[in-house]
Amino acid sequence: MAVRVVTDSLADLPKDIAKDYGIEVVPLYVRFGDEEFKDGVTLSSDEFYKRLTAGPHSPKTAVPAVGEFAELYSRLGQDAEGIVSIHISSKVSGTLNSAEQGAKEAKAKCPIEVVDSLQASMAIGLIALTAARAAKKGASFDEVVKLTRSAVTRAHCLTLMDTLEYLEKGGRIGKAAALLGSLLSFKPMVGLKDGEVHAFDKPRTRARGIEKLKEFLAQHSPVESYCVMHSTVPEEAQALLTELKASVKSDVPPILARYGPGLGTYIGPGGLGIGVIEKPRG
Amino acid sequence: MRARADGNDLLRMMAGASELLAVNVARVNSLNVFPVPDGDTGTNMYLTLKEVLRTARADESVKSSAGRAAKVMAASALREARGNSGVILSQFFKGIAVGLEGLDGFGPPEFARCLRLASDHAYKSVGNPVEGTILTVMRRVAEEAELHAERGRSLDALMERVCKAARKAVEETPSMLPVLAQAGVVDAGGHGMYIVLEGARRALAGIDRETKVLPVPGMSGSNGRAARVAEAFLATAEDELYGFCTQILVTGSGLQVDIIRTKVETLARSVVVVGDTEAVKVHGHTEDPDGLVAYTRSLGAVSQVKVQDMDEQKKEFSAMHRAPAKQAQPLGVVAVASGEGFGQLFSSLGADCVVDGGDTMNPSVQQLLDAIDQCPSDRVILLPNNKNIVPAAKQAAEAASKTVQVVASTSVVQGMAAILNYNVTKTLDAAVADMERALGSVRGVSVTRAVRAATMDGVQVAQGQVIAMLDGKLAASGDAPGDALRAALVKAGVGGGALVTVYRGSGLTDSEAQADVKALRQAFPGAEFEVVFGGQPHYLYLASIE
Repeated sequence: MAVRVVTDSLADLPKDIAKDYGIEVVPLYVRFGDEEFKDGVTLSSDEFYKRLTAGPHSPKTAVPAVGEFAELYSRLGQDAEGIVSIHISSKVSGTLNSAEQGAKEAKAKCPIEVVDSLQASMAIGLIALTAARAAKKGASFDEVVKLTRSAVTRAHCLTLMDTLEYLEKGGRIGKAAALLGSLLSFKPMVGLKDGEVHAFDKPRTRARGIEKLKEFLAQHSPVESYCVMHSTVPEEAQALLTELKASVKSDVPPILARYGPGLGTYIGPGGLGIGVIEKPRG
Repeated sequence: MRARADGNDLLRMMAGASELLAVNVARVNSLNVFPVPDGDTGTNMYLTLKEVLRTARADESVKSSAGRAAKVMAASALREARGNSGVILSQFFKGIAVGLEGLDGFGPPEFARCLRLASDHAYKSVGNPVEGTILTVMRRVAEEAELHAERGRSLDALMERVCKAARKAVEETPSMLPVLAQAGVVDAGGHGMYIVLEGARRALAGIDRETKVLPVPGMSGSNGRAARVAEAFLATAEDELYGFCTQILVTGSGLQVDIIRTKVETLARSVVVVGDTEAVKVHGHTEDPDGLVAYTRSLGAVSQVKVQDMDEQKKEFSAMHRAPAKQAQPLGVVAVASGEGFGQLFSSLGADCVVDGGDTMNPSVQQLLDAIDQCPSDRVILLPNNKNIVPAAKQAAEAASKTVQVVASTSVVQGMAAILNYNVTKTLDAAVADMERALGSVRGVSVTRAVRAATMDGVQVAQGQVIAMLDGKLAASGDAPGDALRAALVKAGVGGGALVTVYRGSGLTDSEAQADVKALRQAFPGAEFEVVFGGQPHYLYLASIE
């Protein structure tokens, strides 16, 4: 009897890590015109970014069905002490609502806690990992829930993007909308605050943007765990990670992850970002 | 005309719904602004419906009874629901399944009950039901059906009533949901629901001659009506939201939701009452929450009482409606700038108000105070963008009733550097510190014509000659604006890796500026150049070097 951890594909958790920690990932749907794929399952990131730039269709995402959550919870609930299900901010996606409905429909024999991460990408992934690590060490359901809720308050992410175009097309521009159609060129740096999309910074050049990413991590020190994410720039991401490793201490080793098709729909090519969980204060 | 329908009829109805929705998917998508403007409400509903139909058609048992058919459909909808609107549509099927459980056939009373259950389940399925959406359409439809179900009508006649009510409800959605009125559209999900019902009605009645492309209710021809709805809404918005938002859960036995709703409607506005005979959720806006609670206590056990003062919500609501971009924000920025281009530049980089002013036209303290007042935040950052305006800005900051900090930008170029480093998600002090740090990160060049002959800072200038200042000091003179600018950039030591932004004044054409910048790119091969329209009156060029 252990606590099981569930998240969705917008957490961008690398597959091998999810597997090692027994984290279940529920895929969203990604659609190009009439073609529908399961995020990261029937559509790889490589294939996705190829299609994204080749056109003619702009991708759309759709939340997993209530029934998919219900089935998963029912299955896990057969022999779990409890289920903690951590999802993309409810302010930008209906996934959390679908999960909550799924929890009501599920025939699980254990309690299910559905948690709004108020975050996206590996900021969710790191929260899920925090929960799964505790679960693996035998923490009780209540302990895992408490730890998860605490991690939510300490999780942040920031992405340096080439353009706001994909965020706008996808309908998730949020509070960054004011920056659309700016006459001056800059590299938008976008993240979530209180669950909503904001433009954090507007560096004129990509090099300055990468400096801002480093500053962002430094601002959230001392660091418990962090991650470097990218959409189509693996070398740049690796270089950033190598540099950060030399200067930033964290409790657990940092991770390199990729924005999958679901989030890639909004970030587009060229995205480079950081997800971080701060250490608890005091 | 038959009074009762069976499983096969239900299947036909949903096939009709799917067919009609297929034709109208793009229109439904185009309406989608709520809850997120991602334009796929129609697609989500259609894909859900298509899967429901595929499953039901593959199952022979659906023909035997309506109850069985509804159950198969509901199970499939729950599994296959796509998106928020799909999830709500799955609740529609769930309602039908619960309503028809154990029944082989159904007539008006049973179908009315189905629609009521559908509406109830849909309301329950969302954490925070919002009126003016698909939920409203489902509820209105259920109410209309209940009103006409018992009068010995045929199912066809009932469906006609239902579709009329759906269309009317869709038409009214912008008056309930401000974001729709702002966008001049009706609710996408609501319109989708209307199409589903209309398709079902036509299939049941065997009609296939009517036009397949449905006009969007309330938007026929132009957006004129939607715009009028928006105006009407503005006038009534403040009446709609008043008093206390009160929510109560009543549990007991033999509860009658309709009777309770009728009573609650006499006690409150914006009433939502959902539930069954054992549990009823009451929601309403009232000035007398105690009275509402007292009434519900007479019905059964009362729990989960939630009373919220709506004054705050009302303010936000009105602010959002009057000016979509002007919601209460954690921070705001007021910038002083002259020139149409700079006005747009500051706005597009996050300034909430731009006050016209500059070298020869310093704005008054009162003008600055007015702009601070208009700014949709209680914490305001003020960018004077001119050394002569800094004192007035400081005075305005002291006199203002809001918390105001001046980032003392002495030129518009510095102001641009500051606003580029403005981060709305930070605290006021942290944001100001970022912006102040940015002031020193750029050097500014300004190019203008000398109004008289002079020797300044060791440079000799003839009247009418073009001069270039670097950080306020005369740096170069020349016969053409491009030459003077180039000389100033040389003096500034522009080299590899520099980013030079050239703001064109109103005295030059775009092609003149492009030609000058082309020459600059050749002269400084390692630097990056960007040219934008500043529209400033006195300076031919302003430029920043980063």
